[in-house]
Amino acid sequence: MTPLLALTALVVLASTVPVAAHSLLLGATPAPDAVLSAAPLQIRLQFNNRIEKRLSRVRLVDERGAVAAALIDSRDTTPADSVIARVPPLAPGAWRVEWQVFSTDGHVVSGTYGFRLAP
Amino acid sequence: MAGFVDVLLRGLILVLSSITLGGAVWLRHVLRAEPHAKPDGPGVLALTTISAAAVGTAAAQAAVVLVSFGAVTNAHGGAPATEFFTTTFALTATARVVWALGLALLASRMTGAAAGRAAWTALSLGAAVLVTSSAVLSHAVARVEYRLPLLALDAAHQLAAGVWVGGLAHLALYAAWRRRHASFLPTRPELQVHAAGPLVRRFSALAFRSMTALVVAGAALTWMYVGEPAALVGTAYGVMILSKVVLLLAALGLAFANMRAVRRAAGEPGARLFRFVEVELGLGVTILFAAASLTSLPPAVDVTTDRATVGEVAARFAPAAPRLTSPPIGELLRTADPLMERQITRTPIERAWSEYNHHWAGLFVVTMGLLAMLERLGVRAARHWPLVFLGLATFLFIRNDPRAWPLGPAGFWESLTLPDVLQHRTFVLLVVAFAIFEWMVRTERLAERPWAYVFPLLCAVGGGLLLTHSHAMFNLKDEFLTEVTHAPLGVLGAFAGWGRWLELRLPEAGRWPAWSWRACFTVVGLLLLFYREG
Repeated sequence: MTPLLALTALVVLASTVPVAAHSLLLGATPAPDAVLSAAPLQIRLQFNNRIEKRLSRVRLVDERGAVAAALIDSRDTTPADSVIARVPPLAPGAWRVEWQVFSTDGHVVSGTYGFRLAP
Repeated sequence: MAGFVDVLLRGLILVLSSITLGGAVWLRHVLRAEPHAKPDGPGVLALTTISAAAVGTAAAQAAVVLVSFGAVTNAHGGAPATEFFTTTFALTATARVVWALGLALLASRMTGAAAGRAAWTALSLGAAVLVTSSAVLSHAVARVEYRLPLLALDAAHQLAAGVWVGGLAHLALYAAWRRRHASFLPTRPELQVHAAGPLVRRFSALAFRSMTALVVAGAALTWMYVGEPAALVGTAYGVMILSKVVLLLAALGLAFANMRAVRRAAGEPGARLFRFVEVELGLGVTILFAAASLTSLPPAVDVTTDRATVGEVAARFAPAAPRLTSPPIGELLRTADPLMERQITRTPIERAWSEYNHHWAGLFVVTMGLLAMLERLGVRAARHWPLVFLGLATFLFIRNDPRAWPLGPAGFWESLTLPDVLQHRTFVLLVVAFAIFEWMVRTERLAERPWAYVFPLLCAVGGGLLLTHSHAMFNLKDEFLTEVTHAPLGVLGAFAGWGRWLELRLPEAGRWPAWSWRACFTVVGLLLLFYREG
């Protein structure tokens, strides 16, 4: 019984924070730190390995912390190492893209970057 | 934390599945077990070990799936079970759990009966599938280019490693079995078929072929995942490959010495060979854990913008005057993030604080290394060197978490709710226990056997953990440079542990094991003394 309890405790403890390494963001559109004159219609992210699109999430956060969800189409035809998320209309200002993906070899990876939408 | 646990579990899976495969190969090619014959003592031992290792593989693999699902659930704020359990990762991992349990059942049933050819074939093929299917959970499966060749190379690499390390485990178990039955073996002529001499010679030839395949497949994988020599030094992935190579070279040296000893020996191999096998096995297990840690790192070939130069890495190892004066705690507390919030960046004063801690810890360790050398030279008073650990433990307790009690505003119990503080304080407790324990062994208050084995095993395990732990967030250049010394520290820790193990287990090996672990210990102290974060 003790090993089972230890295993359960390990799993619970280990599950509290996502893995923070492994997959790398190789490219993004809009690019990190970009200043845009028009609101983007989509966010495109490209990684160094294949990802499971159904378990990937992208959202945008403005300067005040308001969240705009970006919708990923898991049946999109982009390559297996990329995701495209449709973006709702954005107001001018600074935006932070928060992404989180599940790589095909079983790692949850997350990251952020920012861009600015000119008035 | 999830990354660290994931690496540990994946390392455990590599070790246990290797024991499964190594056992199947050991039975057929070394013990030369025949179908339709009831297994004898060594055969039953190998089959029981295979069964237990397969159950362990299944449990660890199930835990990997749960950890991963927990991380997904935590990140999504819900439990996307359908999406998760239909991924390649979850399907493969779950199939491996079932497969390993089936293998365990088969091996268990074969211990008590004369199994037919089909059962033996199923055992061998089943173990091979268990080991090679691990490639479907590796970097190879996630690559966009050269996916199939990488999967094939990874499978070949793991197959060779499994035969080598798993076979070593079974050889060590066989040696223990012979020791236990030494008095009874001469009365059992039917067991003479398992005379150690021919058996070790067969294993030696098998291990040589496995290591050759391991190196060839490993070199090809390195070429594809690392790309160029500079990436071996400038990325976490490359440094981990180098650590594996250093450990493998040491293991190869031992294997070569073993092979020569086996060829020269006219009769039965002596204790020397089996002790070397124990160390070779220990190094092999460490290599498997280092291999598991590679799964959590981006391949070096992908790290182009965050790669450190050779000069930047070399600068971290260049000796410089240690920082022996602490930055003011008041200033640190004013500028640092509150303890209970997630730390985002490290300020210069935090780096200075960390360097000061490392440098004083280095002084403690160098002192212990030098005292241990004096003890070896016959200075009796120096045998109390483990007590220096108590000073180190007190220092770490006070300094490790400056924002927690006794230096910081966070209370003792409050700070223990944070995993990293809890880990640090648990580690301090272990150091205290270890200091008292080893001191009692040195001063003959505890019997040398078995208690003296605790020190080398802890050193070796600690070294291995450092290798697996050193890069949970290791892909950014700053983080890589901060933690780049962890890899040599881990390798030296493993060498120190196994050197001490040989000193204890094989006194006739002479002076080199005794001096080697003391030297490694002292170099660990020097690396800490010259550690720097910027």
